Formats: sequence, C-alpha cells, structure tokens
Amino acid sequence: MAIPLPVLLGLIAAGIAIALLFTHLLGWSATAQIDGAETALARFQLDYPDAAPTDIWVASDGSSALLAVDGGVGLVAVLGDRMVVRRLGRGMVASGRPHPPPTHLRLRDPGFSSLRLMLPETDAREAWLDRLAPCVQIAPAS
Amino acid sequence: MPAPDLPPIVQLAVPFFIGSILLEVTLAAVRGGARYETRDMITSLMMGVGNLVIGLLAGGAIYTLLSFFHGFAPVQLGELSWGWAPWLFVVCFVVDDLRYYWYHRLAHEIRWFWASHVNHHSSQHYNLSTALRQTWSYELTLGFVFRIPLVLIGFDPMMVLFVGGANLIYQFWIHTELIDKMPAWFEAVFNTPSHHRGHHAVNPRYLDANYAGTLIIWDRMFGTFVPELASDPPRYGLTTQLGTFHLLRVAFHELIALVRDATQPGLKPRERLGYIFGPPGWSHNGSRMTATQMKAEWVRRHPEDAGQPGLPARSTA
Repeated sequence: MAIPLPVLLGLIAAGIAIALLFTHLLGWSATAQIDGAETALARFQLDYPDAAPTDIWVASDGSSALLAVDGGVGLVAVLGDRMVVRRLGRGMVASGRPHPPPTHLRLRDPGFSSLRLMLPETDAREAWLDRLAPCVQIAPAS
Repeated sequence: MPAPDLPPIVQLAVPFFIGSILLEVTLAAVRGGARYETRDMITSLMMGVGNLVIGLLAGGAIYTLLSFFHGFAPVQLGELSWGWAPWLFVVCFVVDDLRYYWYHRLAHEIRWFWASHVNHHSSQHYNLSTALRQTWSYELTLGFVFRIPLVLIGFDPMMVLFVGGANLIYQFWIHTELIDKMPAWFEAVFNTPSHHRGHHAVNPRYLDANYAGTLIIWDRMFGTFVPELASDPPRYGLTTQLGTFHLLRVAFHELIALVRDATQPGLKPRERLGYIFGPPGWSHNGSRMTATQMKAEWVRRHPEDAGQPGLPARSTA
C-alpha cells in the first residue's frame, strides 16, 4: 500500500512548486533591510547584550552592518526576512579580499560561509579594514 | 493474529503534509498569524525530501538491525496470539513516545546527537514547513539505537517503525503559530503548538525544554516542562543563527564544527571528548556558553525573573 516512487516524487515536486509560487506571489520573498545603526545595534545586542560599539557602519543597500566592538568586529547580515549576527574575533575569518570592491570575507564558520561588504570609498573604509585585519590576514591594497 | 502488512505511513502522509502547508500559507495570507519566507520554506521542504530519500535508502538496513536485536528478546510479542492486536499498537506507541522523549532530550544535551538534530531547529521561522526540516544525518549519528530497547522488550521491529512514523506525523501539526492554545485538558496531556513553540525558541527560559513527541506528560514527569508565556514570546531558531540557505551547510554545519573543534591541535583527550559528548556550547576554554549557562546569565541580568519557569532560582554565572 505504498505510493509508487515516481508518483511520490511528482507529488512532492508539484507541491514544492505550488508552495514556492504562492509565497513568492504573496511577496514573501522580500528581504529584510537594516535601515540604520539603531536597527543594527538592537539586533546585535539581542545576541550580545553587553556590546557597546564605538562605531557602526550600515551598507547603503541595508544588507549588512559592521560594529566596532571590544575585541573584534560585530557583524549583522540579512538572511531572507531575518537577520544573522556574528562577533568576529582573531582568526575567525578564513580569508578576505578587500580590492576591488566589494570586500569579500570568507568566515571560518560552517554555518555562515561568506559575505560581501560594499564598504564606502572613504577613509572609513580603511578604518573598517584595519579593524577586520586581526580577524584575517587581509591582502594589502594594491 | 497474523502480522499485518503495515503501510509506510510517513510516505502516505506526504499529500497531507503538502496540502496542510498550502492551507496554512493561504490562511496566513488571508488572516495573518503565521510567517513564511520563500527561501526558508524551500530549504525546509528540501531538507524534508532529503530525509525521506535517506530514510528510504537506509530503512531496510535499520529494519534488519532491529530484527537482529529482536532475536534476543525473551518474548517476541508479534508471535503471540494477541501480538498484533490494536491495543498492543497503543502500548507500543506510548513506550515509543517515551523512547522519543529521551532520544530528543539527549539530542539537545549531547552535541553528537545535536549535530544531527540541529537541522530541525535551524529555521528562524515556525510554520508547518519547519516540521519537515528534518535531519540528513540521523543514521550517521546512530540515533536509531534508541529504538533497540523496544525490540529487546519484544515489540516487533515493524511495529516499532510504524508507531515511530505515526509519532512523526502527530508532530507535524504542532509546528504552527495559527493555533494559540488547545483546550486545557488537551494541553495537560498532549504536545501542542503552544508547548512546541517553546521548544523551538531561543529565549533562555525555553532552552532545553518540552522534548515531548506526542505526550507532554513526559516533560511534566521529568521536570523539563516550560509553558509558553505571553510575556516572553518565542524567538525561533538557534542561539547562533545560521547564515545560509545552502542545503549541505544546513545539513552538516554542526557536524563539521564538531569535527573541527575536536581535532584542533593542543587539546587533552578529555577535552576532545568534551566537544563530542559534552552539551552544545561546551568549550575547553569557556569561550562559549551552554544552555544552562545562558539561563544563569539571563537571571544575572534579570534577577526579577529568577525562579520563573525554565529559569534557575539564582544565577550561578
């Protein structure tokens, strides 16, 4: 009394396709936005209540934010309609490529592999790269 | 009573799962109350498909193994005249539900098993698709060994796998935010959406609580029951949320992290074992926190919450 495998697979494929169509048409594929430093800080402090960052940068597209925190760099990134937080300390970034923009970070974290950061083309960019340097050996600017 | 031809009930439930998810999506769109995100849902559904496929491939081997151990049972209940009576299925279901409680509890308290079970908790959403976000490494981490005592008692392996499937199907409907509370008598005896929302929450009070499969009585008996509180609405997922929808990373991230931790240079053998068999969050240098430590830390910050359900009477952090 089992469902034949081709029928089962067809049923599953059709079900997933319909569910995907439903949720997408309902607008539930929209991503979250980090709409400012306060949002980034509030989300970061949910995981690290003691964090008192001295500087916060939020990407212009609202996809990520960096926080200068004691002992490293805080990271808030958008994942779907939610956000994800990491505290980057010494050696927690496997590799980084700052030039040309965007800056690519590959984390030593099987649950959060990589991130693209569109750091501003200003002095602030160098300041953030300096803060990230202890987390990873970032190649010097060419 | 001859052995019946038991159906593969999880397979047969697939149309019900799909239909229920489409219904929940529709209800969520019409009246709100549930949250879906497209990629999160697809990830959950694909994890379910993978789990089903692995189950189909490994099912025969597990059945053979259980049959081997069943050979050592002093009484083989299936061969008695009443061995396949309906009431024995009920007894087997209840005993298996107790088995599930302990497996599930250890899957949260021992990192080896958590490395598999973590998949099910890796969504920041809580809806019917989350129910299908199932592990791909249950067989690899030997979670099935918890079924061996049942076949050693004498329950037929076919019956044990059947009631285990029935338990899994029961747990599907409780993964929803659309249902607030069931009637009080039901909440007292059975696992419900309210109880299980707490189980999926990362708020400190709800960590390591409500392990029940079908009957919540086990949590009440063993002191792990924490009611869902309106004053502390659940936030779902992991205490360190996943930063990816990549299926292989969702499936194996914790196993990879476990291997990395346990094989890092300079550790004593006891410390390596701690990373494998200690609680999730255990570290040799205290750089991470276990659930117990997170609860104590919460009470240190919020002493007014000390002694509330799920929280210690005082902080030991």
